[in-house]
Amino acid sequence: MQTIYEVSILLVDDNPDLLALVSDSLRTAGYTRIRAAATCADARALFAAAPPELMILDINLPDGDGFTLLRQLHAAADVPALFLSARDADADRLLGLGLGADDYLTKPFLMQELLLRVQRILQRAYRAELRRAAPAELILGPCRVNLADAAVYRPGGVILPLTATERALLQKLADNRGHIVTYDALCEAVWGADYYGYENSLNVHIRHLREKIEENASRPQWLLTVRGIGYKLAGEVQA
Amino acid sequence: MKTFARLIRRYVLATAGIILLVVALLLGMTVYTGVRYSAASDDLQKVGTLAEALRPTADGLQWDDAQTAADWMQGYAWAMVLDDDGNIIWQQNLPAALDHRYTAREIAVFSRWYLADYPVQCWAADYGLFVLAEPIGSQWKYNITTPQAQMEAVVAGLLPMMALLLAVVLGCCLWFSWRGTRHLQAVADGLDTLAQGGTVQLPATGFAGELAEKLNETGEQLRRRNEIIARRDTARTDWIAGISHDIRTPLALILGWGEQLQQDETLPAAARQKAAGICTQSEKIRSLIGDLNLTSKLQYGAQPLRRRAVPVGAFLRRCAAQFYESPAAGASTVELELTPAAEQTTLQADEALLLRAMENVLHNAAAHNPAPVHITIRAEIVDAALTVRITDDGRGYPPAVLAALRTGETGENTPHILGLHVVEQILAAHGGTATFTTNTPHGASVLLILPLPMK
Repeated sequence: MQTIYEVSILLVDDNPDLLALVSDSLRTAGYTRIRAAATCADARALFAAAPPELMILDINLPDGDGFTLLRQLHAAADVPALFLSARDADADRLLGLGLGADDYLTKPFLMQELLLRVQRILQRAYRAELRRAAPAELILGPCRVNLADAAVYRPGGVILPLTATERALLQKLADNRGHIVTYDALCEAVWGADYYGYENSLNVHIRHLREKIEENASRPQWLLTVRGIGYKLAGEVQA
Repeated sequence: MKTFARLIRRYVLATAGIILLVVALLLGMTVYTGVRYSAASDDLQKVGTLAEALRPTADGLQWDDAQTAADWMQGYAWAMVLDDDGNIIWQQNLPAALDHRYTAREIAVFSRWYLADYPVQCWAADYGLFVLAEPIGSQWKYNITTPQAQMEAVVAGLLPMMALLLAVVLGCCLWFSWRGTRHLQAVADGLDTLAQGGTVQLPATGFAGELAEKLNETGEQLRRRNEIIARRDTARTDWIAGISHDIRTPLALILGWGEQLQQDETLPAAARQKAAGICTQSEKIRSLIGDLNLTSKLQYGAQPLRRRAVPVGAFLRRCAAQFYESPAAGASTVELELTPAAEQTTLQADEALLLRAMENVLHNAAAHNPAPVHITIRAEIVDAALTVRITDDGRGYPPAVLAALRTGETGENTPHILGLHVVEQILAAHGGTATFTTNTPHGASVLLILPLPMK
């Protein structure tokens, strides 16, 4: 697997308009292998023919329910799944997540939100394959960062090593590139759940990291501060 | 119910108090009477004194010179002295009818009782028997003869007998009270059951039968009303949930198609602008459905709280980050200010619901202002409660919104406050409050207060 856009997605919903809409949007977003089913039986048949890499399931289906369908399909292969349902009760959400679904999105939804959630599930579920296929390299303007080697390649052939903490921080920020990562999420990624009291250390590591990846650490272009909340790695993944 | 126990205790104590009061009054009256009349009789000379004041002289018996005869006889009707044969050897003021010889039988009788209705006292002097009479009707004479053993027994048993009598009286009070309250206890238990929302069917017997019957009728009426209310609430919640469920899929399509049209660069700009409007309005409907469903569940207790530990600092940062990530934020900015105490505080709360409350407040600030706003979230610990004040520099709440939030009354022209009402309900479900006011110099201000568990 080179990119997440190569994955096969099985879409199950009894509303043909919604199937067409979501399929179109996924294709527009770059996903090429999309199969759609309107019933549990169709879904089982498509799954048996070739297990997908992601399932997007409705719950209310004409010949069964999405929970049972997920249980049956998971018995064959542990495929990441996202429930897309009009049922908004906490009990349904908890049941779906409890059955092993990776996410639960309630209708109506913003298509952009669905695409982001799909992207995150795939990046998380297939992180190992994606890393093997693509060099773990971040392009930050004139700088390149190879996360596998924990090295920053600056213009002029200067190579700066990253410490283990700096690498973990950059990895977390790169995994959420373009999105805010709170202090808490960064600290937890580096020091674990019991991170309280490490905020000052975090600031020090971020400053060191900026000195390595930014042209001017005092006026950062890539590793941005969201005051009082956290940090954000600007730009899109280009590796 | 403890009322009846208190009733019995008060009844018994009141009875004992009354008994003690009556005994005290009786003793007081006896003592008062004794003191008063003994004081009056103390004014009289004692018979012994008078007998000794009478001295034998050569001229017969004569009063002592210390006082005159009239003074010695002050308060007395007459006096006489009898010799051993019953002859009068001296007398003063003696009525003529009594001036005769007295036989031993007559002396024996008047010495104990009366002489011609005169209460008399006798004194055996050396010179004879001194007899002194007080006016008729001034004294009451009664001779008591009691066996010695009986008197000793009465004296010895007086206190134990008093105690026994008191115990018997108190026992009787308790018994009658218990009998009375036994019937009422069932009624009291029934009231307890009704107060706890249960139903009652009491036996309509005994003197409290009518009361029990009325209670049964009241319980039945309450049960019917509760059933009607519960059915109505369930129907309303189900209806809202059903409607919101049925509307979700079509709205998802409207929103999705709207987004597609908005992004379709082959369409004219005006058409894409209209598509953007469809998306915006669909978003509003989506938010309304969510709020309507949640407010209905919160109102009718159909939304259980899933409490767990929520670190305040991390939670507020997540709220702010999510707000920034949402399209509604636009160019609005959020600033967080947490005191160290608030940063270190952990709530026991339903994180998803609190997140929804914060989301409603933050989105409200961004959505109801034409220009981007700067939002400040300040969290601190005040009086064992977490207070979170969210202020913005926008236009602030219209007076009609503040009035609707303050009164809680909704009418035809009430502005749309469902999202803020949900905030109030979520805070109330956690035992806290949400207050909406105007920020200084301008903008909206929301104060969320969440009580912290006592350490």
